[in-house]
Amino acid sequence: MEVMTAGREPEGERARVPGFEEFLVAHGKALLRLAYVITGNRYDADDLLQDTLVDLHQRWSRVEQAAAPYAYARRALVNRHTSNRRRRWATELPVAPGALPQFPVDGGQDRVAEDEALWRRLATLPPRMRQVLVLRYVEDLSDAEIADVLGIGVSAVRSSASRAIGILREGELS
Amino acid sequence: MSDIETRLARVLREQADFVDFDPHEWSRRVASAPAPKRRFPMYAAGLAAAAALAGAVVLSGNLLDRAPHPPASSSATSATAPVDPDRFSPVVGDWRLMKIDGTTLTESDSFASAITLTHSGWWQAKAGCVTFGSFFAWDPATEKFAVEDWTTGGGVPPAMAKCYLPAITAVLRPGTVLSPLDEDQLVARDASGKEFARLMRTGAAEIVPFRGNQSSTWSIKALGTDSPSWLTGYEAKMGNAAPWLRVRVDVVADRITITTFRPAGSAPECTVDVISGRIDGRGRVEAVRALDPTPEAPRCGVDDREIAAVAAVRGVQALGTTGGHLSLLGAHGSTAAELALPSGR
Repeated sequence: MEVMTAGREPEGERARVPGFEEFLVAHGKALLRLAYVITGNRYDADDLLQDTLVDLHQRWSRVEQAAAPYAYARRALVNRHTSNRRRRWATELPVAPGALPQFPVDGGQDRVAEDEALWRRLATLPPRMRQVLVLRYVEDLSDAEIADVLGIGVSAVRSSASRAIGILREGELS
Repeated sequence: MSDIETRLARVLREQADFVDFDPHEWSRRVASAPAPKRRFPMYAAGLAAAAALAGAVVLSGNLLDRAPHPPASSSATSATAPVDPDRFSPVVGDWRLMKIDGTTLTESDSFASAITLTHSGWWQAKAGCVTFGSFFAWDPATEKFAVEDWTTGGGVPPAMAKCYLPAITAVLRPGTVLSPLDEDQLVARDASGKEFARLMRTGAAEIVPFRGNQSSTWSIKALGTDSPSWLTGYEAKMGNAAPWLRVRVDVVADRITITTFRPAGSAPECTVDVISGRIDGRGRVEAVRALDPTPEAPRCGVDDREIAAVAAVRGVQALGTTGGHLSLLGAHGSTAAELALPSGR
């Protein structure tokens, strides 16, 4: 039986690349925020960000050369979210009750309950609708910019947003 | 902006504000993380074929309404002989329930709800937000499906009841007849022969049984240490898990020992937990018992998160391999941990 030796050089460790650390400091939190509100839970957000960052690390020279590295990374993250949603699920795990989203309590119990309900309804939206809403209301992108990130037409963005808002509003009334 | 849009923007931003980010931890994580897994190429074909299946599947409403509960164990769960890999071939793979009760699953449901059946007889079911799993037996002669053990616990926490899809686990009940229609479709019938569900293959099963016929050591390291291999991150997904812990799995013949350490760093390494068990021919881990740590690595005092992490590892029910990883298939049917970069194998 092999015994591990502390201090051994890690196998498969990625080399550090100049600029990547600085990018993480500058934009990592924004990307994790984006991943969290797109996926709706921290576990999937961590996975999504990790996969995205590993991809970016592997093609860092292209990221650096991009006119706006954050925008490049944001597009990569959203695209990976789309493809992850179509990927096998077998390694997903039950969500511990403690991992459920938290809500501020400064607005009274009614507001807390309503916000929690809205957050839960968001989780039921198809990924594309959720992406559109997040890019519009969290990233403050215009419809044209959202269309560019998602690789769809502006009319499709408006249609997705409109349907998503409609679904959420229906939920409010029911 | 309408009222709901204003609220939506506020809720999204408030939620985003809960996120903490440590760039140094993430830098280490990225440096040692495995390359992301790629999408299974059959998936696109599966989806296209699934679209053509519209209206094909009917699931009876009473099954949909059935409360989730583990059925009685339907067969013995003692050690079994090695399984003929071809035995389960017709049903092995990743499957999705495409239509229920004449209505289409929503996109989010269909992406979040699926069944994986592996050669070892292990199954996992993602039923909405809940993951179940255990062993099954499927008799190709009768096409009958028998579930062994079903799942540990088997209940659905109240917080997840709304997003749980009992239709998925209805397919896995003892007595269900699973008949391959072709290579990429399964028909599920109840005891009376009535078809109540149809499954579309979306991929080959990625988890295959672990063959414990060679001694090997699989290990993972915690963040920030120099140990030779890396936990892929799945352990960090365990409820209240402690990602700084290092787990080593030693397999000698049919014996498995799983040791959980607190990593060295500046202090002497200590042992959080040691368990030992036996692996049968299907990758099942049984006769698990706790061991005392060796004198060389004294037992640590542990906190709540470490206790939760150890509980998940202690719940290991089976071993499987996925590509270059060893999976501990654990409590509630989920993957307790994935261990990367085997050595001495």
